[in-house]
Amino acid sequence: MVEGKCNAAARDRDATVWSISSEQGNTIATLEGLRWVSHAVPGLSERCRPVSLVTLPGGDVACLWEDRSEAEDGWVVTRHRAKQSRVWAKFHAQLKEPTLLGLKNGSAVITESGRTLALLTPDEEAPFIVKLAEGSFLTPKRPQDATPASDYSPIRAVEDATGDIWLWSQEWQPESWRRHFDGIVRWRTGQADELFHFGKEEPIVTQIVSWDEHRLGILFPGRGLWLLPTDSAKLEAMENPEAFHIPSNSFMTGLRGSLSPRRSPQATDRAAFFRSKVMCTFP
Amino acid sequence: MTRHYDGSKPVCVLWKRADGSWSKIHDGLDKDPALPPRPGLRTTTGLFLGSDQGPPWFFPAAPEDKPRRLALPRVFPLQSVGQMTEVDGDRMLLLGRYEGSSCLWPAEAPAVPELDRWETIATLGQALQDARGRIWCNRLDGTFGRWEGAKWIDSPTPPGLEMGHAGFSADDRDRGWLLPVEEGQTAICDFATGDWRVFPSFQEALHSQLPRGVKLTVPQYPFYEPAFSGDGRIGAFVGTDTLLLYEADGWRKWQLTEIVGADGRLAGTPFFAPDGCFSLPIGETTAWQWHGIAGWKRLDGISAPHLGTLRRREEMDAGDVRIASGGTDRFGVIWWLRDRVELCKTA
Repeated sequence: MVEGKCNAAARDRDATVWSISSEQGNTIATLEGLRWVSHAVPGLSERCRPVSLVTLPGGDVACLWEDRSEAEDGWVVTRHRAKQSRVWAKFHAQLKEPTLLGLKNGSAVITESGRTLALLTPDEEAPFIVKLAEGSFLTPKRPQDATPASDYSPIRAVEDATGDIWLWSQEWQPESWRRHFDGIVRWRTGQADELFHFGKEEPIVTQIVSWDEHRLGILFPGRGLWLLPTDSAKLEAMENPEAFHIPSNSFMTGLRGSLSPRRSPQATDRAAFFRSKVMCTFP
Repeated sequence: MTRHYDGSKPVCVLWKRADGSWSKIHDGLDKDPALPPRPGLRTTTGLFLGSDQGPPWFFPAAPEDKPRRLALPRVFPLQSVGQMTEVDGDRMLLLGRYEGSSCLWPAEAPAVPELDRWETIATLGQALQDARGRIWCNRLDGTFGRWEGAKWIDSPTPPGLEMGHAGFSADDRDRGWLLPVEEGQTAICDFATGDWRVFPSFQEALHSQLPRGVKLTVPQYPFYEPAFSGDGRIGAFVGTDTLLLYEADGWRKWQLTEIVGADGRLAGTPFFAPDGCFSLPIGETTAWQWHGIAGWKRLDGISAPHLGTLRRREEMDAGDVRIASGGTDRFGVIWWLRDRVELCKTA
């Protein structure tokens, strides 16, 4: 057993393993032998509490903190490597159950159970924050009285091999999921808006992964695993074992998403980054 | 993936896609369809994959090796694994899903020891390890024993101890305390000699520690750890609702609700603040403080030790911690303490 509490852990590229825990206050810990050893993080207020910890594609570890010393909705993101820690960004936003995703270009995206998204770029302390329009994850066929799913459901993100970000909603509503639809949204720097939809059945999405250099793998309950070329909106059917039609918690590993650095979105084109919207349609 | 589930046999299937086709690797990963995200990690040695019940699975990279659980459930140190991280080429870090515990595991996931290599001792409360590495435990049959590296030695039970107790806890003077359920008899064993001293009440046991005081460790319920001011005062939380304070003129006693109200919560271990005031934490930085004649006053901007031990009064009896300790003693024997009532050791 390792001595001390630990709620999440991540390893940096120098093989230091970092952890956060609900009992460590505004400190972060590293694994030293069989103990978690706490370290202060310069620039964090006493009332910061850790929320999420991830390893960024570049090898740093990033931690999202809730800053409770702020009047409301204060957040801090820190970076850690080789026993060194520093503040990356400080900002205010209404976030519920936020999740941090590191991007290959050195940026990071924060999603939450709602429509607010934050983009952190490597060199700027203030992230770009946007609230997606109501219905961003809903098809046009949604009934008028349907609740906008994206106001309540966790939004998850995946980066494809070209550096584009794909978002989907994880809402699960057994009685009405066909009406409340979970869509897929692509964020793409500098691209024109495109809008597609799944068609009449409007299936939910269980998981999306970067399948290979050109495609995403998308798992639908009842439909199994499909592939989506990132340069088109047409799903490709694959041969699925029968059991794939009842997926529970899928786990996919060993996929070949290549690293293809894309320049970091600049202030001038970040608005377009957030505007782009692609859904896809079953053949 | 989950196939049709009727509860008659394990569910969830692991599939592998290679050369454009799927093959079924293992049928029956879980007892029930698992809903939380499944933890997993692929390393050079194979694939580690979480399960809804019991230890994770290991699927060796070498095709001739069979899939296996990392260990038998009774000896695996975590209740449920929520995250896996590679530490280095030799070790994995496994994180408990709920309890905040973590352990290191060999990356090659060696084969599980056979069940008959393990001996289980049912205990009352946790077992303790003394300064000399000996294991002490209060056995379920009412006897006391200590492990001296080759065999169990029966140790005298506390003389005159009449009532049951709530736990067996170590202090910083190489002693073990049999703690009462409320404020009753308390027995302290000096591990150096094996001698017991029995006190008619918890208060008297605490009072006998003055003037220096003692650091008593109660890992599962740290809010039960008494506080010593260093100037002759003692504060403690006992039972499910009682606060004790010893000052020069004797003991004072309050019900928690008298201080914090019916909906109040204890947010951490009662403590003596830097200004000397006895403090009862009710939030991250909020506490009620005892000001003598002026009574209890609420204060913001003060933090307690052991924050995060938040409990509603009705939750305090919940046995929600499964693992209290584990490791190898100085005699090379591997121990796991499970459920606070089972001590397992290699035979």
